[in-house]
Amino acid sequence: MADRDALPLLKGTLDLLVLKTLSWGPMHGYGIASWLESRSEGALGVDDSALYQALHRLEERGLLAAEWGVSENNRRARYYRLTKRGEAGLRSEARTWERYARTVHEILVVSSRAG
Amino acid sequence: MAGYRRLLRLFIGTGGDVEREVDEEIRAHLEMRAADLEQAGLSPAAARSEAERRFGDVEGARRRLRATSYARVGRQRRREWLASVGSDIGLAVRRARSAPGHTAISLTTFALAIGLTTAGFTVVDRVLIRPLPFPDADQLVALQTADSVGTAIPYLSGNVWLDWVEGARTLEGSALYGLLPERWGYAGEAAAFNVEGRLVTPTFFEVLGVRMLSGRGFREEDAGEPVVVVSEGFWRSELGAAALPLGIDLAGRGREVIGVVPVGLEFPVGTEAYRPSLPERGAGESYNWLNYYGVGRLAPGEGPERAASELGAITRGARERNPEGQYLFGAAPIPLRDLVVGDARDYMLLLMGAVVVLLLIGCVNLAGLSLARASVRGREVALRLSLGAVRRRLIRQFLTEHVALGLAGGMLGIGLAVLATNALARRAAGHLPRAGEIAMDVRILAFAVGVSVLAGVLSGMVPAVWASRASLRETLGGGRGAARGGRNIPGAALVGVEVALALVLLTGGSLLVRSFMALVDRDLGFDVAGVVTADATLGGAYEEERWSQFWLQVADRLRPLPAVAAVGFTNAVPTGTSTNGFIQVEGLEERRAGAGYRVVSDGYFDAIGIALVAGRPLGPEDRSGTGRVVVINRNMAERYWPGQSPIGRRVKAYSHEGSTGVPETAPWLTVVGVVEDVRQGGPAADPRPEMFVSMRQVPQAWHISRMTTVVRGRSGVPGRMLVQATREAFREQDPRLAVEVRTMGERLGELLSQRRLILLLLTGFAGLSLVLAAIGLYGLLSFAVAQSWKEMGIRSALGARQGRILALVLSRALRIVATGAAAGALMAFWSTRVMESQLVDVPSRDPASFLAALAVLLLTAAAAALIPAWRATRADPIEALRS
Repeated sequence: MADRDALPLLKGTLDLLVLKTLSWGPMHGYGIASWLESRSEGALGVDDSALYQALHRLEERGLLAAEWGVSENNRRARYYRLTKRGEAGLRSEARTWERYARTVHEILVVSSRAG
Repeated sequence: MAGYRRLLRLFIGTGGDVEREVDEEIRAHLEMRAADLEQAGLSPAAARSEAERRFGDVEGARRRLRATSYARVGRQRRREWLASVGSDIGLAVRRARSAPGHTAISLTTFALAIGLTTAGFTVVDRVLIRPLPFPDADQLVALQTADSVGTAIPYLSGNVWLDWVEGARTLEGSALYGLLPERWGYAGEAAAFNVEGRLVTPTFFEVLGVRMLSGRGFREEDAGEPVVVVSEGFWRSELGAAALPLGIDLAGRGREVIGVVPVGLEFPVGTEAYRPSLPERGAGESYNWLNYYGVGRLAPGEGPERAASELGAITRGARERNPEGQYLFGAAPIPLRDLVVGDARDYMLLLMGAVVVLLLIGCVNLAGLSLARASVRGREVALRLSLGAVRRRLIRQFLTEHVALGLAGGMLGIGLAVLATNALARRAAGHLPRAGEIAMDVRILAFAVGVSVLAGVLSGMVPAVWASRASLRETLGGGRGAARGGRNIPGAALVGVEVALALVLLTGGSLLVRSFMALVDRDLGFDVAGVVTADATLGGAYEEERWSQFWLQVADRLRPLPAVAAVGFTNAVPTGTSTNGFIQVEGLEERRAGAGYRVVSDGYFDAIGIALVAGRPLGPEDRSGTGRVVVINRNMAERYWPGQSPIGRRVKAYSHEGSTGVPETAPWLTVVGVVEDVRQGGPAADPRPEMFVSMRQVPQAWHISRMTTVVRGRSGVPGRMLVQATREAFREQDPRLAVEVRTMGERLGELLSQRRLILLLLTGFAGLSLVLAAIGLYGLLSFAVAQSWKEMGIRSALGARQGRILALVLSRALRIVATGAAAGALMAFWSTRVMESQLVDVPSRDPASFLAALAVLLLTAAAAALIPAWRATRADPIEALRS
């Protein structure tokens, strides 16, 4: 469990974050978790078990492919990477999310109902 | 057990892997986080527990991840499996194409073995195993009574049936149908022809369970009315499938067609039209007028034995009231199917045996071929194994290849089976009972496909198992596995088995051929050429007083014809029924002495060509009122008066001429002549004691109610003409009387036709088994020669002459064949005993047949071995020395 002040992730966001994290190259599950934690400076509450479920789900849907490999400290670990479908999925999901965030943000910054 | 589980895993795969992977992934995560935490300063234990705390619900995660993984892995495995099977099939096809000779031989062997065994099985299934095509056909029985000697009599009198209808509870229903088919004139579209008609009692269709295609069956009130039910064939071809009821002219009278029997359900087979009739109860005498066949349906829960005892009790009760009844000594109902199938049963069993043997030979052939091929690939297999190929996968590849081959061959075989079955059905029509029902169906098709797959798996397992055991040592050693030096021992053993099995079939076929030839050659004791017979029944159609006059009139019509040389009458013509009874021989104490009781006219012996041996034949001096005389046959004379002349001795035929058990009531008959024996039952039967009394002297008229007229034609008169003339005479005498006219040759042919057909089939099977064994031998030897090519070349280089090399290969072949033949001869020796009932004049261990079969086998084996042997002599010594 992450810090108690961390923001809970909205549904579906985790998948998007995972896809983005892997867009720079394959990583194992712990690597993804610790990168997200450090990148968000602990602001995002990434639940480890939820992360692994997301990884397996994405793998089943064909957006990720997994292979066993050797980690930095010579340990056997399961590495995930983006498939072609995953790349395409990442692009479209990211676009959707951006539009959604922009729309919500624009409503929130309006000072009065009339404006 | 372990092997079985390994086989299963071939196709399913284990589930344990998934769990281990999930656990490992989670463990890796926890370890890595703990490592980081340690670097941040925590103690190992604290780091560990913090890592777990941060993870969250480890157990829950484990469970959920496992579930997802299972699904994913399952899907993946299936995809992989399909892909690998696909590639296996592709590999199999490529392999098959790369060895076209081997593939062609395998496919041919498969096709022939599976095709012909399927066809054979179809015939046996339809004729013997399947119930008759009526609903609940197992409940149908043919009704029979018994005579004083205990023989089952399949013919019934109307009276006995009426008794049964009244009193029988074990039968749900019963019906009669006429003894002979009737010929009814019909004016068809093209020409007038005769329709095959049959008299039936009104409940006939109900008892059989036949539902009319159109219209209705008979009702009790229809009896005697001019209504008919026709077969579907007749209805469609002659009546244009017109709506019912329909008026037509049949047998010179207007009648109404009220029902149509669906095709395939005509009983007896071949009947085109039925008319309804009910017998009337007659005087006690009429218990002896056997005018009908009877069929009954057992009540639910009843069996033939209970019916036999109930019906038997009823008939015995009738006999007490009517002591003159000769056929009221019991009842013997048998399943209707047994009556229909009759003698063919033994033949069908024989055929089944041949089918199984042939299938075995086919499978052994295939196993041998694939074994030979496998040993070639021994090196390839060992190499692949050493390079990391999974043993499981290799086995699967072998199996796939062979099952594919099996299925492909099986498809061809099924095509062949369809053709063969149709040809067999056509050829067997009229010779085999239920030939019209012979057709392939889905069940048999499934059987054929199953056998194909099984054969493929079996023949594939042999090389698969063998190849998977191939060890590295052999590869490195450079040997050729089981094919070292061309000595393929398991392969040779298989060919030996084939040879043995083929010899068994050949011997069986040979025995049957010899038996048939002996049969046809047999002296029958009567003439066949130029003799025509006419069966007719007067009892019930005419009053008793008119019977002898009727026969006289028929004779008077026939005798003056220029084509006719002699006319005679008998109640039991050879190749027809036999009427047996008890006799008492004067001076002999024997109580159970029996003889055939024949009622004949004066000219009978001349007409049918039975020679007189001693004394005189029956003549005009033997009339009612003069002393009772009898002519006996040689068999009877030798049995009861051996070494003496029977002339002047006396016998009583008390079964037929008195009340049984009371010999005193029968008159003494004096023997006046002895005639030659005949084979009453046909060429396959032995002569029995027979006695002949004159038609004019029989004490009870019913003996002459049913007679066969025997007409001898002048030399040179064709049978057809005689048949025509006889028919004409009867038609002039009484156009409505049912008469069946045939030449004696036709009657004989009918007796032999089944035998001839089976002979054809079995020798065909034997021939085929020989071909397959030859192919097996050829394949084995070719392969052996190819393997020892180098050796042959070297021998040749060292100066061995061609003849020596030839001898080498041939001697190898001889060793295999000799071993197989010895085993086969032993098997044949032991197994031909089952054929004894079919063999005539030939013992089941007949040496001539065995030798003939052996000779054929050796000749074929020699031919098969010659080609590879010759090829061996062409081995190039230079090539051999070079390699």
